[in-house]
Amino acid sequence: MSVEQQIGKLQGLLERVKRNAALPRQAAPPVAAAAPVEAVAPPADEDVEDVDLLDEDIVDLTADELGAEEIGAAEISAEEIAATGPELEEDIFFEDEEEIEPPASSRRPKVAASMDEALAGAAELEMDQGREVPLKTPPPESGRQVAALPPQGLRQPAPPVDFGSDVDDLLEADISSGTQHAKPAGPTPEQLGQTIDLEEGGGASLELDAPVQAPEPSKPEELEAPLPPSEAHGSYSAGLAPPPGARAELEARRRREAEPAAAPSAPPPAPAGEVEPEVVQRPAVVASGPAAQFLAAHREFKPESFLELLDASLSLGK
Amino acid sequence: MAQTRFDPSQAVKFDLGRGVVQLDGSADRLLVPVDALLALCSSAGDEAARDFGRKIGSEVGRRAAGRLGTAAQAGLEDVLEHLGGDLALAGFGSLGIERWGRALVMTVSDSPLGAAGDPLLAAVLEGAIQRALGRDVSVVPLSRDEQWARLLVVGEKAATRVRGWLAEGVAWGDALARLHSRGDA
Repeated sequence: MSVEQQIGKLQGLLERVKRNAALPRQAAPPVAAAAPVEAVAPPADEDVEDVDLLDEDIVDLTADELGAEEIGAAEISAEEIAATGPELEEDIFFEDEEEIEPPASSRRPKVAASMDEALAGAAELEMDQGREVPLKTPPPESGRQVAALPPQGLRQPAPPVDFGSDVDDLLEADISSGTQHAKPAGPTPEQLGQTIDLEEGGGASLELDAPVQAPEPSKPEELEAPLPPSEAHGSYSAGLAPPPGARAELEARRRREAEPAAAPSAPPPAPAGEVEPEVVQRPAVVASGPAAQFLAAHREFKPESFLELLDASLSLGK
Repeated sequence: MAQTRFDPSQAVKFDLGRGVVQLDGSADRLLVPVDALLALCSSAGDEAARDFGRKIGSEVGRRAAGRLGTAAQAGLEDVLEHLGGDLALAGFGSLGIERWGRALVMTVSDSPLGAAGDPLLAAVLEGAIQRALGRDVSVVPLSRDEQWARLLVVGEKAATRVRGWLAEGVAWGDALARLHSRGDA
């Protein structure tokens, strides 16, 4: 394929990108401040604008054609990007581009088949860019260093993600366990790249609830997983069944407490079918006179004169 | 009844010029030591001492009977008042009366004769009661402590039984109970 053909294809691709950018997007719902967790964007791979690229539109920039395509690609990007303005930048998103913008002459790294090939590619890239990229981690005192992008073969492959209902499960698991890395509270760079300025609303006023101060989960210790929060803290489960006989005992206690204390002798109501004794009580004693009566040990003798007593004493022993 | 209260005023007269002691309405008196009297009674024997005591008691009974009037109508308090007064005036101690059922018990406290003089004291009471009330009685000493002497007034036969029980070691209370059970009370 000649350079002119590739330029033509790129121009066609640029037009398709422009058309897709002109299409109306589904606006994202306003994110409430009270639910920042739900506002966490899915992985970056999902937010990439779906750009339908046909096979013929894909430009295969391999190492064999680098020498001829570098100049063309640099020219096209410099011209077309300047012509299309910021809209193109919104639609075309490259990962990690926000932090380190690659030079215009960057190329897609070729997938290295082995470690040696990857190292050789990195060295070649260094030679091409004319900069010295340390292969090893420089010491901290050496200042800011330029890190080369590792070849694709060395990158950790992204975990397979099912974009069905499993996404929500994974997100909930991340929130509940808290063992994942903390995600930024604000929008991700991917979201910023797709932000669409909304027009000012009319007369409608939105009322937002006051943000609920959610308790921050404690930072888990290493190798220690926190228990999931539960709503039954300090309470009993309503589904627990009472022990057998507890209801009857409770009713009996309530009856005893309800009985007046002035009638303790009243027999409690016997349950039906229970054998009770026949009690015969002694009737109350109604005394017509004094209960005690003193009986004389001998015939009462009360002399009226001394001579009478003397005669009685003289009569003793006869 | 002549009078209710015993009045000892002017009862004893000491004529120091003549060296005579006189008791109102009685013959001359002689003041002698108690120890000498007891020694005399002890040497004279029981029967002589009993006669000696009855003579003393007869004089006491005569003086009390003059104040009691009709002895048959005299009450316990009247007899105790005048008979006890005359005994106290003679120096035999303070008289008291107890009634144990039908038994008459006389008590004498602070007698100068002591335990050794109880037989003499009993003879004095026998003479006084016989002269004042006209009944022959036998007085048996029942008990004695440092201050009090308790004496039972009964007939001659009962007195012999009680003396026998007391000699056997029967308590005086039990002796009184036995006396009542054997009698017609």
